[in-house]
Amino acid sequence: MRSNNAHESFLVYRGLKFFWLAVALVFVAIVLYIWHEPLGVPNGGSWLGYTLGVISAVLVIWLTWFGVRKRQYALNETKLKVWLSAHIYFGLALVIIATLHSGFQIGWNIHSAAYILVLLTVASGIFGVFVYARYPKLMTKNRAGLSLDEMMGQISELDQALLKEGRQLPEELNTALLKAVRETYIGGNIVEKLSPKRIDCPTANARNLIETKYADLSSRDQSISKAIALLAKKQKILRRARRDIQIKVILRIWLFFHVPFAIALLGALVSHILAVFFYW
Amino acid sequence: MGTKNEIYQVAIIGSGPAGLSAGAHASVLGLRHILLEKADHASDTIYKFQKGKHVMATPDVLPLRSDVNFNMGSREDVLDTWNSALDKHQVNISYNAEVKNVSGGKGGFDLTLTNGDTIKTETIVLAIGLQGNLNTLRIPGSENVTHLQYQLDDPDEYEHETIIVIGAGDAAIENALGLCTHNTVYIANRGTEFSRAKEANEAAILSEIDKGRIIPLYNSNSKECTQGTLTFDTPDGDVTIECDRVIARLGAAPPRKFVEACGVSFPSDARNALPEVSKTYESNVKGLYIVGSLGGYPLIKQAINQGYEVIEFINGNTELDPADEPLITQTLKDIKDFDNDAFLKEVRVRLPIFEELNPLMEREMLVESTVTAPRKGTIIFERGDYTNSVYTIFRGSVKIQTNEDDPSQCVILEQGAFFGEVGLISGRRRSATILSNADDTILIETPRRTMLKLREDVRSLRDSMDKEAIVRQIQTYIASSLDIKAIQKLADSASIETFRKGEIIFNEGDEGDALYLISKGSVMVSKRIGGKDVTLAYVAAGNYVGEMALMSDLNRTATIKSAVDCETIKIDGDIFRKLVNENDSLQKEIEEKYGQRIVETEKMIEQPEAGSIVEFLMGEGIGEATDVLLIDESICIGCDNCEKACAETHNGISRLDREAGPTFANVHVPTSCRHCEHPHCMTDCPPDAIKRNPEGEVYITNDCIGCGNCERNCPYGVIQMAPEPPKKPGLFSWLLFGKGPGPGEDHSYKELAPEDARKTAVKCDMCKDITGGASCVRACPTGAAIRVKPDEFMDFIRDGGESL
Ligand SMILES: Cc1cc2nc3c(=O)[nH]c(=O)nc-3n(C[C@H](O)[C@H](O)[C@H](O)COP(=O)(O)OP(=O)(O)OC[C@H]3O[C@@H](n4cnc5c(N)ncnc54)[C@H](O)[C@@H]3O)c2cc1C
Ligand code: HEM
Ligand code: SF4
Ligand code: SF4
Ligand code: SF4
Repeated sequence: MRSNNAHESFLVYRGLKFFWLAVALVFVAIVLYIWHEPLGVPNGGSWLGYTLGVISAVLVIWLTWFGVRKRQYALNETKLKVWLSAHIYFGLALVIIATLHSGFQIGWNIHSAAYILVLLTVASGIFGVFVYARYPKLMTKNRAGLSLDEMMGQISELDQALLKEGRQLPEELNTALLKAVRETYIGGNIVEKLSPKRIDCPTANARNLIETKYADLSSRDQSISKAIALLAKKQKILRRARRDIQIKVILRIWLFFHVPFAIALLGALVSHILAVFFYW
Repeated sequence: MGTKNEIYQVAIIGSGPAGLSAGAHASVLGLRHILLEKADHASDTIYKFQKGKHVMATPDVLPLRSDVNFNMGSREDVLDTWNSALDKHQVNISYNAEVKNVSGGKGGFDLTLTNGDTIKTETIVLAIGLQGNLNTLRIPGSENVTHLQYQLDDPDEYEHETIIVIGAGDAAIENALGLCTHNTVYIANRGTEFSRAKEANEAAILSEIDKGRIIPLYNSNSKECTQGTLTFDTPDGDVTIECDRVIARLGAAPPRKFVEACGVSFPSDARNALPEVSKTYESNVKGLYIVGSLGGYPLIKQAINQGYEVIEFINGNTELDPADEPLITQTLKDIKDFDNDAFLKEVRVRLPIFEELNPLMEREMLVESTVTAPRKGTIIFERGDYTNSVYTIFRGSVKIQTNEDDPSQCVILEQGAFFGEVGLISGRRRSATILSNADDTILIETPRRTMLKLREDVRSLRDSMDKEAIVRQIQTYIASSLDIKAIQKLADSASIETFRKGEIIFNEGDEGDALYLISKGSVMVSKRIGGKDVTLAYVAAGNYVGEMALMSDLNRTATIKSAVDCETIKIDGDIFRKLVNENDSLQKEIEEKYGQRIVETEKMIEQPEAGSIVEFLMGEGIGEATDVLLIDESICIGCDNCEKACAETHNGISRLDREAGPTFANVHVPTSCRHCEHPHCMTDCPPDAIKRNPEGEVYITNDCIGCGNCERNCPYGVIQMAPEPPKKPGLFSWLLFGKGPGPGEDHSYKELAPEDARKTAVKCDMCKDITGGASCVRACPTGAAIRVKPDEFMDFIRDGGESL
């Protein structure tokens, strides 16, 4: 069905077309490797080694080119989703091809640096796919149809109510409420964004303070109960808002590893090739 | 002002482009004249344009004929030119001279001004434009305070003030929104809702109120004001608010009342109807002439020309060639055997629907139309195209292929007939392919806007078109196998019924007495299941509903509600039933549809959540969309690559806002054009710069003069007025050397743009010039962004039930 195809996700594009292509590539490489092995100690120097090396190098360059292709918006030959699908499965295939290319000889040298970077890039890529597959749904669920703006709107409404309630309360509590209104934030620095629990939240503090002070339920008058209810409500929205930001950051932060690894890999690859040809 | 008892030869009311051009020419010809302007400066409409606004001089091909010069330029330059022309020609202009009453007749009119003065004149030129009078606040104190205003030119002018905006319409809301970032803003509403405003504005104001950034005063009637305060009458008693400024946006009274009071008649009650005038711009009141936008010419250049012409006419020169002659020549450039005059004459003889057009309307119609001479076999349009213009056959004939699969089945239309009106009414794709059927065929293709205007103004045209359209729609959408006699019978029993958005057409359980063919808009079908209304389907224009009850003896099995404003053709149930019984193939067709609907209903009943999605989408106005961008939030990673792609392929400005817009379940409707069946944005575009492609894309051409009407008229808030962004360095300079702001819209440019930068309307054009389709969709790395057409909605929702 046409409409169904139209919003098939990148992972299952055309019944895993690129997955099977990548599997085929790996399969051929493994068969050749096993068939080739008896002829001597395997390494990058044999004809198969060269072939696998060239394939790996081409793959690395092509995989990195994705960063450019992603931004060539005017090009119309294929959808980006198709590229991403291919990027993922051939990226994974690269691990095996590169491993075979190395003949399992890993040491502490420039050649292995390239190999390790392949592993790091791929690992970060796998993490990225995990993130892309998991978090959008969580984000939708967490938002429950609200946008972050709307959440902020609700918070400022609750703040108005809290200010009003605070005036009826003892000084100490009023100060705590004022603090909850004025000093509560969402976001913050990167650690706080990623782990909102670390935020020392004045709203939570205010609630704790009131609840411990009036631990005995019978001691709570109407305005105390109301303040607690408002604080609880605000905390709930704060949790949503912070979670929203957390997910947004998670969806992006892995690229700050993936891309530098990829660039470093490209550098290491060039060094590796130069080293092979000039200093072998 | 001349002597008190002077009788003028001509009094010109209104000094807009039309009036001041008339004044200048009257002065040049030495006529005893007076130009009356209610403001304290000339040309108030242009004066009120935004500071620095770029005024355009379209249409380019139309030569300017006036003693007043006019070139494209900034508002300031244009006004300077005009003011110096007024000086140079020593025009007798009176400011602060608002005419409130006109009496008498040709040769002896009496004008009364609001300041009590009276003026005698032989003829009148009415050039008051369409802006009307701003309604003012009439409460104790309102005359004496200085903090009360009725307009807001630039919201950024005010900071740290307390401002009360009065009104619940778009203007009030837009002002409040513009002011609320730097000021404390109240919005005073006589009721409790903002539903009169556009949906986008309503949503925006409610959200600002939610956030506490605008303070609403509901059920509040302003009662009195003193300097620095305003008092409201509210259900809780009087409330007085101290403020620095009150902005009352109470709307404008259209000039119609005044014009009617002058004795001028209007052809219809339609909101946008304009008075009828003769070839010499004379109205039904002899001696009273109407020019400019009030006369139906929405552009400055036309107004200026008419100002000149009307004075020539009044001065006795009835032989003057109209200035639009070159435009007519242009329209008729492919027609060899008629000169302009002969053609114009023949149009009314040969084409009955144009019979009652007056010469002015006819010229305008031709100027806007395209005249072609397609040889036999040439395709005029194809089934499935979206062009909604109407064709009339001036000479020759055309062939309509009524059956998609069998080209030999066809109907011939001869000279005098028209076609294409069904597309105009429904806003949907053409239902048949049409070819020229003779080598000497000449066709007039009249664009949508012109035709709609003529429909408003010329009763006979409207009636004959509607009548024909009923017959043709019944033939196309219900009973292609019936002979024309039987169809005529159905048509005679039929009536046109219209329904507002959300109105019920019939209820489940009602007795079935009629069949409804939807000719415009779309409807939702729902059923009560387990005590809850479950939406089962969306039915678009070009389909019928209500056959189930007619084919069985049951009552209505479902409720039908209009999803957007709808027009239906209601066909009498008994007559229909009888015809079906007599006609086997029709019976088969209807039964097939019936069966198909039952299957679809069963499917939907199993997926009540899909029904809620239909309901949500229809609520968002998608019932009138022809192509809409949706985002599946369960796989959207929020990378904004769609927006970047749009900006990169569209001159640096993104035409979609991904994050904005409502979400239901995991379906998100971002703010982006839906390419409406009847684009609201097209309604009031002075240069007719908004067009629709055969593929359905609604887009804006370079003719845009930047008036902002479309931005205001689009209920979905998807048009923005934007200056041209600066050129950016290329992708690789950015990737490798970090030059420039990188891909996507550079959000800083709008603030940096000079104040008088020319702004034009920008919106999604569905990437019509890009092969490969919508960039936004292509650039989405996960496949979350998709564009959907209405005929795919139901499939899409049903089949995608799980993931969407
Ligand atoms: C925002 C905007 C932008 C536009 N941009 C362009 C553009 O770039 N290019 C273009 O060609 N067109 C443009 N137009 C259209 C253009 O403004 C009109 O076509 C033009 O103003 C019509 O001229 P007019 O003389 O008929 O009426 P108006 O210009 O409306 O002039 C009417 C005059 O009559 C006066 N008046 C009214 N009632 C009375 C009374 N009772 N007594 C005395 N005086 C009275 C008014 O004060 C006013 O000065 C734009 C319109 C808008 C709203
Ligand atoms: C060595 C191999 C790889 C290299 C060199 C590489 C390189 C890149 C580059 C340059 C980008 C562009 C990022 C940007 O500009 O935003 C990218 C994106 C991405 N890569 Fe890789 N990659 C590799 C392997 C993988 C693997 C194995 C996976 C998954 C299993 C993967 C998943 C992704 C994803 C999901 C994106 C993000 C796409 C987007 O958000 O637009 N990559 N990669
Ligand atoms: S811009 Fe026009 S076509 Fe697009 S959504 Fe608005 S009114 Fe409809
Ligand atoms: S496109 Fe919009 S802004 Fe441009 S002229 Fe038409 S209505 Fe005015
Ligand atoms: S279809 Fe094209 S113009 Fe429209 S929003 Fe998408 S990218 Fe922009």
